Amino acid sequence: MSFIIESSGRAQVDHQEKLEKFERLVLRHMDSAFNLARWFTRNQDDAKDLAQEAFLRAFKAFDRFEGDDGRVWLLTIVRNLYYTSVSRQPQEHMDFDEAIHSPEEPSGTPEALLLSNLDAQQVRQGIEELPPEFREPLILRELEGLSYKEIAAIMEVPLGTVMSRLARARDQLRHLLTAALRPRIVKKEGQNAVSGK
Amino acid sequence: MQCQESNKMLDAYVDNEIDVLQSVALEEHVAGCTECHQKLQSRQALRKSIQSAGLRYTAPPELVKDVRKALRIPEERSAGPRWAWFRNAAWGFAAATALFALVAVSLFFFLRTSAGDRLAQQSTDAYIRSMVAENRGIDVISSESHTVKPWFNGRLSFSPKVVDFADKGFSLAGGRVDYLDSQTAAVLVYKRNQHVIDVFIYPNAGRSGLSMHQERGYNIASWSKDGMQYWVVSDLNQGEMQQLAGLLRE
Repeated sequence: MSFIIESSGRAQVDHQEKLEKFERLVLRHMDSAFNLARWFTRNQDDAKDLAQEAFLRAFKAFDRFEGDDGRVWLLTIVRNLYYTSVSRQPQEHMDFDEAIHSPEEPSGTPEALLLSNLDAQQVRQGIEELPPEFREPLILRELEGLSYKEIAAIMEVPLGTVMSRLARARDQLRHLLTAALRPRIVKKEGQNAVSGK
Repeated sequence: MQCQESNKMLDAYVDNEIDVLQSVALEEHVAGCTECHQKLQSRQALRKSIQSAGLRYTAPPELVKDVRKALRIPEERSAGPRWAWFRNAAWGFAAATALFALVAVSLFFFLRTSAGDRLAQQSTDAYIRSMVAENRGIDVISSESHTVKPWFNGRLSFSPKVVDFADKGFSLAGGRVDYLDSQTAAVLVYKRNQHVIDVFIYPNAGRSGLSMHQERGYNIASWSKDGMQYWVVSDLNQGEMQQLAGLLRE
């Protein structure tokens, strides 16, 4: 009898310890998981489902987790879950019409001034228009503050790829945002199909 | 350094991902090249726009609840061990004994540690508690010092200085009222990237210079000035902590 009490007590202690460790290392990154899920799904309810499922998976696999950075691990699960659940592969290439999106070099007003006076809605729309493979590292870098190394681990690409995708992401975003401020010029360029390069 | 190389490294530079030597080389090039200088300014302006646009989504409260429920984690961590344990008399007795031992040991250490260490511990405890609370323990969420400062009126018997240092990389996220050193304290919450910094402020007649502490892996800075005692707790590194302490002490 005393043995039974002891073993169930022991199991409970283990479970309690696991919960506390999970809370400390993984659960505290709820916002990070939700943020990434929300940018993936573009929808509040789907994002909630995705994040919740990721936490359940993470908890199941938590015994195998080593290290003390739960965030990268959790975000990897969110990402993998997203791409498997919608049965689509991470897109490696998507056409981006540079001609349409390239504005003329701003004359008069410095570009930096334009870019620093954007409102939140414009920036959000601009990021949403980016191809997924560029949007993803940008979200992880700018909104989650992750290092290149961490982003590389989550996206399962080499470090150099993270660097070049971030650079391209920002170039495209810059084009999109400065173009949005000059709709007339964009139209004209679209017709002429002049590359900005 | 040539423009081509500078272009290639520009993003890694603004992301703080290149070493000091490369940074210096890039800065030298940019200083003498108008085109690259403009590009750098554009990058920095774009980053600032993205980061200040509030684009990061935060988990809705019901997600927090649902996940906790699904994993059977109690709502409040501070609730401690499950009460179900105590249904079993044997475990109740064992827990009581352990608790007694714990109290005895902590009393021993409590009496031994100096006031400074004790306050470093207390502020770290409060910091950790706030990290697991809803809204990260921020009761008034705002980056406006003109919103945060009046919020303390009526909640405190003093008025803390509230300044946003977003331009220096420490953006004000909000504030709350906490309890430290046997009195109510104003807490200003700052963010640097994803790091959260708590600044505890309460009246104290003493006067002391900046001292740095470490507690369970967190860095802590404290000083008193103009009749106010400051405790700053964060998981930032020491250099960044000193930078923020410098700003707050200005």
